Amino acid sequence: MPPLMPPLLEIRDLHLTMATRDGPAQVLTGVALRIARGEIWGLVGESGCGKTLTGLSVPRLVPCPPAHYPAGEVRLDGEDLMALSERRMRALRGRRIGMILQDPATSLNPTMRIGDQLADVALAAARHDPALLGPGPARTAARALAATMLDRVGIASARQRLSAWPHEFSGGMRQRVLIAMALIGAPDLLIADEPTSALDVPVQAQILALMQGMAADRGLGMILITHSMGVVARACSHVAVMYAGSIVETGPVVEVLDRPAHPYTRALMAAVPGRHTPRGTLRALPGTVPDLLAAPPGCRFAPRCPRATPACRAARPPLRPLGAGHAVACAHPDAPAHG
Amino acid sequence: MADPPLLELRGVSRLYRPRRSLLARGPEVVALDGVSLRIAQDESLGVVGESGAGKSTLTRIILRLERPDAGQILYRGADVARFGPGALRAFRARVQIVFQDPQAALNPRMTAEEIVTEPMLVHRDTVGLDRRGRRARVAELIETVGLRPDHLRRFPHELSGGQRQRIGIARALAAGPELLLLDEPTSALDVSAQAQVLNLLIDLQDRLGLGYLFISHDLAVVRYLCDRIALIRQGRLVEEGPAAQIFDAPRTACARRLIDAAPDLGAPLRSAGRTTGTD
Ligand SMILES: Nc1ncnc2c1ncn2[C@@H]1O[C@H](COP(=O)(O)OP(=O)(O)OP(=O)(O)O)[C@@H](O)[C@H]1O
Ligand SMILES: Nc1ncnc2c1ncn2[C@@H]1O[C@H](COP(=O)(O)OP(=O)(O)O)[C@@H](O)[C@H]1O
Ligand code: SF4
Ligand SMILES: [Mg+2]
Ligand SMILES: [Mg+2]
Repeated sequence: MPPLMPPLLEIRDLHLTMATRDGPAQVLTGVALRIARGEIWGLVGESGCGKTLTGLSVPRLVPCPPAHYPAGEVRLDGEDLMALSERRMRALRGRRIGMILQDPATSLNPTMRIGDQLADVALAAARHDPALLGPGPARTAARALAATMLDRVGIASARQRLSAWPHEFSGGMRQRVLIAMALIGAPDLLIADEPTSALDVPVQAQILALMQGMAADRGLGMILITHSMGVVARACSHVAVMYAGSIVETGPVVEVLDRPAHPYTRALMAAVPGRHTPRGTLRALPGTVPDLLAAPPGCRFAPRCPRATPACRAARPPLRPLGAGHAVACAHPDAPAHG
Repeated sequence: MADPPLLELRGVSRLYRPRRSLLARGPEVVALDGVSLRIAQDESLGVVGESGAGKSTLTRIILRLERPDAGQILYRGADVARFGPGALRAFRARVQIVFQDPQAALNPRMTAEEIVTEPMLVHRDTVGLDRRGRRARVAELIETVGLRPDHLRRFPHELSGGQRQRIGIARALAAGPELLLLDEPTSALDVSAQAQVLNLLIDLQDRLGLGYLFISHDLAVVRYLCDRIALIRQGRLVEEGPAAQIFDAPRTACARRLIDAAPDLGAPLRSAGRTTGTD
């Protein structure tokens, strides 16, 4: 048997506490994920469940304080990222770990032309990986790569658009520039926070296909944080459903979306309009995500769960395997029939 | 004779001439090219189209934040370009916009109460309420959008995304509008908040008879909410009609391409095209 290779990314029992005006909030409570090369993981859940903080924790972009990590590990190819010096971590960002932040409005420099911003990222990545730009003058090669990337994210007349300013682009075009920027350094792991929700459907499909291509051809591993179950169904190989700081259901997309076992996953899926949902009949989830300063003991979903029993409130259910890579953290899951 | 529609656009065009440098200007970008549209009271028009098609430009032109290079905008049959200051103020109270990103659209230093009150101050002569009347109206609005009175004391960052968007909608309702322009109002929201906001919009329309111009990239959402759909491509209106017709029997290749590309949860999952681990 070959020696066991560590996965591309492994997050183990990650806890994050956030100091707030009203005391410490337990924002992540034992997040666990294993992502292999070539896998695209959808990370879903209502807003405030900890998706962004999970994503930001990998390249260590959460400011500490106010954040504090009482427990947990984050490993990239087996290397403990939490133990790295800030200098080594900086070298990984943009090169081995690409990141698309959730708030695009603040991510582009309004006083710099699009092409210069992209070329700068390529040049920085090439300092660690000279093969990225090949021989010849680096600046010229970086601009050529910038044009190629703009073209691949579907910006028409990419070469001419290099000299455009951010304000001359529509919202969706700016978002695509950010995607190009995250991919231009040819990272091994891409963390993308809501990268396609501002994009029209064909462009969204094109970007997802680009990401899938990079996963299949180059073994890019990816965390795709999204609100869209459609995007998960279309683009992801795996999905992790997050609720109030931990992962409550996880597995291959075909398993989880076809046979959701957690009441929360089912409720999320029922809130999405389909092609034939009659007007006025959509079911929003009752209640809200709990206040993380005073989260209920036991299952954090219990106050909103139609199936909750005293057992649910007594102890927090751990993630239990259901077979076929599918796991659920629920005392009374829907038992999916695996055949 | 039938009443004129709430809003009518006739052959509206808009060009941008981006600067290449201090002196030189680049080639013209045609953001809107002869667009004609109508929205009746109590009607939702969904506007869909690729990124950069001109959808947001359309809202800026309707709000008169920018002037069209050609064409007319008629409000209840009257040409908006000829409005005097009084009529223009009334028009601005009657047509309100809700943006995509409630975080960016709300002033972070104002409480929800101040945010919802502001349009009543700006449009004081149209709204005509004194301080007491404004307070009562804010209380009513906050209930209308399904929030609690204690939410009024909060700042935007102390509200969830869905709650912030409700504040954005309450603000848009404050001056008593007849037409709401909704530019991707749910694309920054999670599916539960989206469902709440969509049901709220339906409820408001049923109660107040508002007209909606609803921009979204999510075709299932557009279909859920809208009576009619207008498809824009490179600034031009390429197809317009009842929602059911556009979705079930699109006439143009452009519409078909858009609908076929839509991720649809209603259809069974196909594993084709999905990557699996290579490790
Ligand atoms: N100030 C400006 N200067 C130059 N070009 C502009 C300006 N504003 C918009 N444009 C161009 O006008 C076109 C339409 O832009 P608009 O913002 O209306 O698109 P949109 O349909 O709302 O797209 P999205 O779905 O991406 O938001 C685009 O080609 C855009 O680049
Ligand atoms: N800088 C911060 N200070 C305090 N609390 C924060 C901060 N950032 C996020 N939080 C809280 O952490 C929780 C998870 O946030 P986040 O990861 O952004 O959720 P999601 O991306 O799933 O919407 C929320 O309760 C949020 O209010
Ligand atoms: S553990 Fe109990 S309360 Fe929690 S999701 Fe399962 S059934 Fe509901
Ligand atoms: Mg987030
Ligand atoms: Mg727009």
